[in-house]
Amino acid sequence: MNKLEIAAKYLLDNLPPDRKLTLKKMIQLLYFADWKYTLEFGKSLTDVDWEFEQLGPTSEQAIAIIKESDVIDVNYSLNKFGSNREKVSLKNNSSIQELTETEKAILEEVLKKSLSIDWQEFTVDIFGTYPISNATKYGKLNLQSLAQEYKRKCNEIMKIISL
Amino acid sequence: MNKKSDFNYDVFFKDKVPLFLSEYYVFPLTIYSAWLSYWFSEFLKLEPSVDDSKSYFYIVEMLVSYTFWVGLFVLLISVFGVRFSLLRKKQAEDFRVENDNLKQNIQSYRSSESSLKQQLDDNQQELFNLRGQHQELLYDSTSNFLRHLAEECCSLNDKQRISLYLFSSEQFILVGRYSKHPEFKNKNRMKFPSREGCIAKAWYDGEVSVTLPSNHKEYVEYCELELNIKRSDIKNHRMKSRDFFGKAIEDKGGDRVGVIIFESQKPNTLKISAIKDEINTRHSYLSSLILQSKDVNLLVVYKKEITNEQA
Repeated sequence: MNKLEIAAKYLLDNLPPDRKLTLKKMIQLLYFADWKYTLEFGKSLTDVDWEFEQLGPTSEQAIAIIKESDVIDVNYSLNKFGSNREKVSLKNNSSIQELTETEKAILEEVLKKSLSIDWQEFTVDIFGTYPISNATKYGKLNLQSLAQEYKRKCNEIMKIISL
Repeated sequence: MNKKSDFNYDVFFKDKVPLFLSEYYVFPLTIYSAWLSYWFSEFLKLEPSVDDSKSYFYIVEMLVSYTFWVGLFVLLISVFGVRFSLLRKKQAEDFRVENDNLKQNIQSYRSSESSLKQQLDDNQQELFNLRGQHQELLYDSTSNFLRHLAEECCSLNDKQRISLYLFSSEQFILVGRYSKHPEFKNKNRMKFPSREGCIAKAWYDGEVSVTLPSNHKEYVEYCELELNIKRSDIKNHRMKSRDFFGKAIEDKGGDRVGVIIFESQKPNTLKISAIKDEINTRHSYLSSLILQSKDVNLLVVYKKEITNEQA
């Protein structure tokens, strides 16, 4: 099973029963978790390529994995405004424990944060992440090199402050 | 100086005393029962042979004795105690019912809150998508207006381009672009630093008209030294323009809101005076296009200053 699929399933497993996730939000949660994990450990949590598009970070690879997943169901419906809505849910309760404690902790942290704030605030947080706020053009995001760049800039700022 | 007493009569007589009596009424009741039995046993000790008037006086004597009044006082206290106890039980029952109702209400509110949160999330997601669509439509309509400007008013050719930028949070964001050349009209970068290139020069100076050298080395040096563009960025420029004309666009209040840039790959081919006339004529419309874009552009609406904690 793909790492992204396991992470997505873990998010759904830990989602309160009265809350639902759209595919778009799931992708944003995975991006956020991936960025945080890369920033902390220098490697990707999901092993997928991320892109920056007009509507924020996305990954065609991640969307395809979730849509083809055996454990995650994508339900298509129309919302009250008449737009398409893709809700994700668990297909079955097969238990998969292939995540490390740190991976679980980051996914839980991201999910908890997203549940405590509304979509607008969460989107502001997503757009405020270094890869998005510093991108000058739409296209691929190399989270690993961006994490290094971000750390380097932070260190430079800290050096200037300490002088 | 007399110390002010903290004693509160209302609390004492309306709260403390009833509470005390309702808690401990059983003790005076016991004392009263004991006294009653004693009194009754004394009453039974009267012998039938004794004179009726004597026994009558004995009863009267007993009745007027202090024990009777003490017994009556104890009885009254007991009665009040029982009364307050019953009241407390009633109150406790009322509180329990009210508490149950409140618990049910809280549960119901929690469930509504969760459902409302979900609805809010769905609505904000829809608003986000609509803003995205609006941004696209506005970009297209702005680009169409620039096309009209390019073709009808300024006669721009394949080697030329017009771009409109809005200024927000120390950066320029592309809100419309037109060129006859299919590659040059594409969005390569969507935002630009506030202190680089002709855009920045036009923004800070109000107007800019620049012709860059034809020699590559001189071209790069000029870009680096005069326009503050990094050498690494110059090679990524899809359109290596040599002629630039830019003008800052102001809102009705006279505040600068963006910049319009005309550029050409060939030097001295831009009809500057015709362009200036057109910009002056269309200035308010260009300004309104920039302001509309500012209201819906996702990079502006969802912008947040980056901090270490939030990275």
